Amino acid sequence: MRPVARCRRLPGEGDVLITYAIKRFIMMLATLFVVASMTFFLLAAVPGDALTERTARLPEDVAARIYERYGLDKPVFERYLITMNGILHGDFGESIVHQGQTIPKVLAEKGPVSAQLGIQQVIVGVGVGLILGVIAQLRHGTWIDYLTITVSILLVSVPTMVFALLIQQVFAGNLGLFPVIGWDAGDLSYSVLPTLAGSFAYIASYARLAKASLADVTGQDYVLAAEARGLSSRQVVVRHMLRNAAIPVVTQLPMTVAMCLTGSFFIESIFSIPGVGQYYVQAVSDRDVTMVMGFTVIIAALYIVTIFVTDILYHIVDPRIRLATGSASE
Amino acid sequence: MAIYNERGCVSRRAFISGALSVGALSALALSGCGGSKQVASGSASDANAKLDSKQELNLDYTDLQTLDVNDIRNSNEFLVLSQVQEGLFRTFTKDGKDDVQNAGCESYDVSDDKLTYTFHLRKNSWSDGQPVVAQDYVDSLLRLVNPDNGFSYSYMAADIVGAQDYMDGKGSADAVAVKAVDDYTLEYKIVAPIPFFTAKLANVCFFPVRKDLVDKYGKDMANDYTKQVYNGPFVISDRVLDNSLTLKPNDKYWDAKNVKLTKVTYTVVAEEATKSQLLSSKQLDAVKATTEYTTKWQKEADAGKLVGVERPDVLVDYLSFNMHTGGPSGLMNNEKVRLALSLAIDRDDFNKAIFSGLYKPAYGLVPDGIKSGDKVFRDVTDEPLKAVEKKYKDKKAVVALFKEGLKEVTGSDDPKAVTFTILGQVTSTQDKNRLEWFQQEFENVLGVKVNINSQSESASFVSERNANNYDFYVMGWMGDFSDPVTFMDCWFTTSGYAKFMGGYSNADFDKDYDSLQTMSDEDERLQTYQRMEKNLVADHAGMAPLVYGVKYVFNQTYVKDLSLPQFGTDFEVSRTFISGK
Repeated sequence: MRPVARCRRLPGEGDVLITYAIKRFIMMLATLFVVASMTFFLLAAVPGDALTERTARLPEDVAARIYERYGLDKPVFERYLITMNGILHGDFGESIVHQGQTIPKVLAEKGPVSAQLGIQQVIVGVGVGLILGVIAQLRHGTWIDYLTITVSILLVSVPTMVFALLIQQVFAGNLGLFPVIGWDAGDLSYSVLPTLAGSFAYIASYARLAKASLADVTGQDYVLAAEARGLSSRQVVVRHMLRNAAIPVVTQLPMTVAMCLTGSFFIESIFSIPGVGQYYVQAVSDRDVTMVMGFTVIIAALYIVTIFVTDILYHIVDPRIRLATGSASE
Repeated sequence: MAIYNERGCVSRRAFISGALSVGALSALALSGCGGSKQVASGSASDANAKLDSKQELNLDYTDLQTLDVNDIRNSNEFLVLSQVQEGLFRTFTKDGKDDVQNAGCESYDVSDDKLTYTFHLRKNSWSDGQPVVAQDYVDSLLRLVNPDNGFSYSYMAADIVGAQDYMDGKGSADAVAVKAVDDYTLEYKIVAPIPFFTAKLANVCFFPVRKDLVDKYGKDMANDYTKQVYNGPFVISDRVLDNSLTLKPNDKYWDAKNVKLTKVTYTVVAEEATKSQLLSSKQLDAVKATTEYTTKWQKEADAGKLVGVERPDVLVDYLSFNMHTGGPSGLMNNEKVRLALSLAIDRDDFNKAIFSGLYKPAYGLVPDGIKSGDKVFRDVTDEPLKAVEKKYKDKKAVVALFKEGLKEVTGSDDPKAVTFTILGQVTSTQDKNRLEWFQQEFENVLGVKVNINSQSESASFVSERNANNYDFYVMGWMGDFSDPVTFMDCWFTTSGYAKFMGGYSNADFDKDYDSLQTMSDEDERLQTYQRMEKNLVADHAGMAPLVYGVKYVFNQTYVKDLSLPQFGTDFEVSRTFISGK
């Protein structure tokens, strides 16, 4: 493959991009609709509901009244229409388990916590991961390379939960360096262990990604050419190799950030951090349909929008990538 | 009465006092537990102990579904609401026994016919300064039994005149016999001279409510602690949903001078491993042990690092037989077959194999610690199945009994032709082990085949149970107050709990149960309970008892005067203090 030196703007390309964007946007809405519908019907198909336990000992007519109050007595399809109508108007409804609780209230209270923790994890994880990956590739074939890759395979294979419990025991329990659990936005000592535990997975995947991308560009014509021009190896790496190798990393990043914002259930629950992840999983186990639907749709929307934006940016940033319409290269 | 935790294992919603259970005692996957057992009354009480400057207590919990006392549902709500609100009584522990003290009332009178209870209320204030008056108790009861509300614990009020009719939609609120004679005199009339009415009234569901605020805030009161007012020793000062809850002393409380803790923090701790870390590093001051960590903590208690307390838990596990249809085997309506199954169980081995010996093998229905009048029922009553077991010491006699029953039903006495189905909800290895234990036991002793109908979800379990696709399953029952009736009143023919109890129906049992309704003589009641237990467990084998629960609590040595009541809250902390941390 020969690198494209310069992008020539082809006639009508802007229109293609707009058409593409519109198409993707419609697809995006359709995907969201499917996700919401599937979530609803899957939840409805699971036996039992949020009121099963609560009404178990009540006389039948009283239980029936409670079901009526929460609208759970209605046929599935009717409930589906009501739910979807609500979602279209931005109203996810009220929690069945925690009276008076709504999605916006929970997000306002717990969102910032999950976001802070998530961003800290990404900064540490991606930062360390990239550095390790680059070092491994530059020292390709040496013990440093093998060590880095072995460690990252280990980090990615061992479940986050195990790591979290392990570092909790060692650093908080045995050594007493950090609090075992809890959260205080103003006191960073609470977030050291959860940040570390959550960053392992990022370290592992970004180290491998950085190494692989760098390996791809190593030996490319332009790298050889740069070396032939007598540039120092440092210049070759920084100006030519890293810049090109960064593309896969950059495109991966928005997704990572989107994911980190929604919180990590395991980390949040092990360290008793009042984040969205912890609440979401509790809602699932409580069969709190309204809350589960709300969170699922919001998380799905976040992912889908991120993918959409990434795709569009990707195209603008790297014109080598042609849209699969066939018309762009006429 | 209450059936407890359907999940029956280490669930995030902790133990549930009053929810359905299939399998009962929580998952304990221990290996070779034993060790010494210290029987104590809660933490040590030392009147001369010097108070530390920092009086803070840290406990774990799962977040509350509601702050509404009438709508109380789970053990975590009892844990917190009992500390921030107050009813007529408050229960402490003294010398290993419950010590019920007058709280919201200063005294009470019972009429000669034992049908009218008059409470003289103490002068106390809500946290907003308003006085707590008799009308607040009246409003609470009427709200509790209002059928439109459908509160889970409303059945507790059924003894009050007019309450059952109102709950059933047949009567009106006006006919419910509760009255505020004046601001500080409260009167209830009950339908029968039952001796345990005050024990029932200690339940959180009867605590007073402020109708003016209920009307003003509606359901927000159930979830927003700032819209609540409190009349207990503490008030909620902070809450992070599904994460933590903080209490501080209620300065308007009548006994505020005896409340020594300045802060109580409840935190959600998801993992047992984390709980153990917190306990070791003194960041958690007391835990109720329900998992494999019991052994570890017991060792630390033996070494003097923790205080270990063991108390009988008011619950019993048993095998529930399908007498609705006779089960897939068609044999379960035969008394001989049921008794043979019950006798085939080696309860010691079951307790050791499944619970590492932490619980107590059961040969009766009523667990330790339940009182009948002023006597502890179990202390004065031999377990009925033990006498029967003596007669059938030889397993061959059990097999002969089984064959006899088999022949009565099928005409053949070949156990090899019999296949039983045991139903169970399996969410852990221990659940699986339990089902397999029964499979092996019955196959070995009786020579029958046992199929396992294993369900992973409580809802699917319930649907299999309702479809009668079982011969037997393990069931648990937890008492709501200290009287054997809390264990008896799910076994009479028309009981609403028949669906959980295999549909036991026996004319003598029903007759005795009916006679209890108007019986006030304590000795007579005791004898009736004894007869009923024997009828159910031994004479007709309506169920097969397995183990009684045992509650293990571990607390730090510096925690003093921590009470562990048998009913309601696991921890009563209003007199607790810290000394020597």
